[in-house]
Amino acid sequence: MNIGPEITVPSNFVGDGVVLDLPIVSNPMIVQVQANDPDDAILTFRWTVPRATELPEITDFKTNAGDWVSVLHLPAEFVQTGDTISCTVTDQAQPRRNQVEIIWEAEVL
Amino acid sequence: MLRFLPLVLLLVGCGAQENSLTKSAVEASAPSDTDSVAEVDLTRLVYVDVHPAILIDDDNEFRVLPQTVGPFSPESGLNVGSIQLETPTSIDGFVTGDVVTPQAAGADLPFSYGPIAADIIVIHNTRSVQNYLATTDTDGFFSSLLVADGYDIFVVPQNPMVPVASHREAIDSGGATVDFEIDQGAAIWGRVLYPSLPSSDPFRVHLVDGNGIRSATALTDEDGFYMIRVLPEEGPFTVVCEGRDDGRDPILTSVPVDPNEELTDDSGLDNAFLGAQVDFDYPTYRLAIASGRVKDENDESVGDVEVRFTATRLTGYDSMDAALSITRVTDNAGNFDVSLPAGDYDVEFMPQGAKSPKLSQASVNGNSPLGTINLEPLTAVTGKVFDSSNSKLGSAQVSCAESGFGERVWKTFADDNGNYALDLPTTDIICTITPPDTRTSALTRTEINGANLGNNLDLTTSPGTTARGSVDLAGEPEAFAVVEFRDGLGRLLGSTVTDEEGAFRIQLDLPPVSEDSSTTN
Repeated sequence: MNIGPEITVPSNFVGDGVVLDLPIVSNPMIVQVQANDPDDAILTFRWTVPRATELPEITDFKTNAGDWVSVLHLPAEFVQTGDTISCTVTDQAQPRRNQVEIIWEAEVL
Repeated sequence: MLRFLPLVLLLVGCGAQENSLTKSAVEASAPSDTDSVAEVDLTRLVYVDVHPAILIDDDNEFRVLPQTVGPFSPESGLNVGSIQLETPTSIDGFVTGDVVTPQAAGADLPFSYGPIAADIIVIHNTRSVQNYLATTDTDGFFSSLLVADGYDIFVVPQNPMVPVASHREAIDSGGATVDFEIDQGAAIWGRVLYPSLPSSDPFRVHLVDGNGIRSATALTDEDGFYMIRVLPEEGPFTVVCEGRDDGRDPILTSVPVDPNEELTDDSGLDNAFLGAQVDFDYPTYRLAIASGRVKDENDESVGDVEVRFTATRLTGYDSMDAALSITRVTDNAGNFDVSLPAGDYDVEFMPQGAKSPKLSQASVNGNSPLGTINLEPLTAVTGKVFDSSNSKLGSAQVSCAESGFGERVWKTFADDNGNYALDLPTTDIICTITPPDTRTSALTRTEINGANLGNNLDLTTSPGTTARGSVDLAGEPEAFAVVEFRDGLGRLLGSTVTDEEGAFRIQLDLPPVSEDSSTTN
């Protein structure tokens, strides 16, 4: 049976539906997800930034150790306190079944 | 804690000189990491951005912030050495100053003194991730976490009647307190003349100072006058008239002006009258209407297509720096119909799932039908990804971006045999291959001429040159930190992650060294 992605970063991610804190301390703010797939499938990342008026810079890559990484460069003008930012990690071998969504609530400090 | 008043209250007479001396002293002692790279080939500079995986510790305190080191100018390999991450420190302070009330009579401008509502911009340099934003509270107090380093601090008041102020500060691990006391400065003022004035809709005017910082926006009064206060030492200033809110007026930009050159103390007037007058004179609006229809390859009308008109020449504006860009969307019948000032326009279309056509310098005068724009479908492209030894490269990301309107990106991953498939426009694109193992191949960009794009496109990565180093925090290796490499233009050269020892190694595709290139290290 194909197993879904395992999230390693953010390290305080415990599962779908749990909202994590995202303090905004720099411009751009960097938000990252690191994940691995037990079945060695390709993982893709889909970011949702509600206030973005253009596509923020996103870099996705596979590490030398085989993990998958996605880094969102979030300009300060695209986020306000209370905004919800999310990243959906999808296993391309079973894209409908094996999805994990990470949700943050932003707080501009 | 350092406490510093970078801007003294500017009073009549000798105030200007005192202010100038204070600012000069600040600049003389300030750090500068950008001046040294001014004459260097930016494509050969390498900046290293470190993004730790965990920013907040178990006690809910910030343990670390993203940090940038460099620039480096490697000729062959690059050993960054050990990057020592700093624990965060802070900057805080109060912003107070004068809010001028320009209508009052008298030799001295009347003003009210108190806390200033402002945005605080803290910039290490524009290529760094160590840039921060803060906002003052009702007492004028601000604070921000940051990495100890040299910073330019800009105070951008929300009221255009308070000048933008700046200060440069080297902040050590103990943090810093920097208070700003902003005087009323000088006025840049003028009138926006428009054939139909008086207009019930005000024009919007702002300034961009010599540091590239934009002021708050002022609105013209019922007679078309505006005023924005400035500190002359932050100049020269470019004045920008944005037009009215409906977005149909061209944006007019002045030549840079220096308030000190307009009136000086020799004029016999006091400093409160230093300033510069910049008027904007809009010509009579020559209405034109551009229309057309968008159809697909099956001659079906296409709705919801963005159409952007960018002026290349505007009738009546020949002696001005005028710009205008208007975007509309086609209706369900594929039609567009746009009212705009007469002139020549580049007309670009951004359809879903089709190539973006462009009409260059289309003349729009009076009633100007542009005809039917026929969309070309995307081309199905397949190919293989190879490394520099001609081996198939599985799990490589292929990302292709078009230039121009929309800057759309199409991306996918190659399968285990290096095969990929994408639907791409037959226009000029740049394809970026991100290899799965950055120790053997480099992130590689390939420019594709759209005219030559067929159904097969094989891509090959560069072997690159090796960059290595490690990341520590308080003497301990920092594992799982994302390390990004960028050139002096901000383009990504590659990304990797530190291992459990905090070490990283990556191949970078750097341009060849030219014989006359300078180096900075």
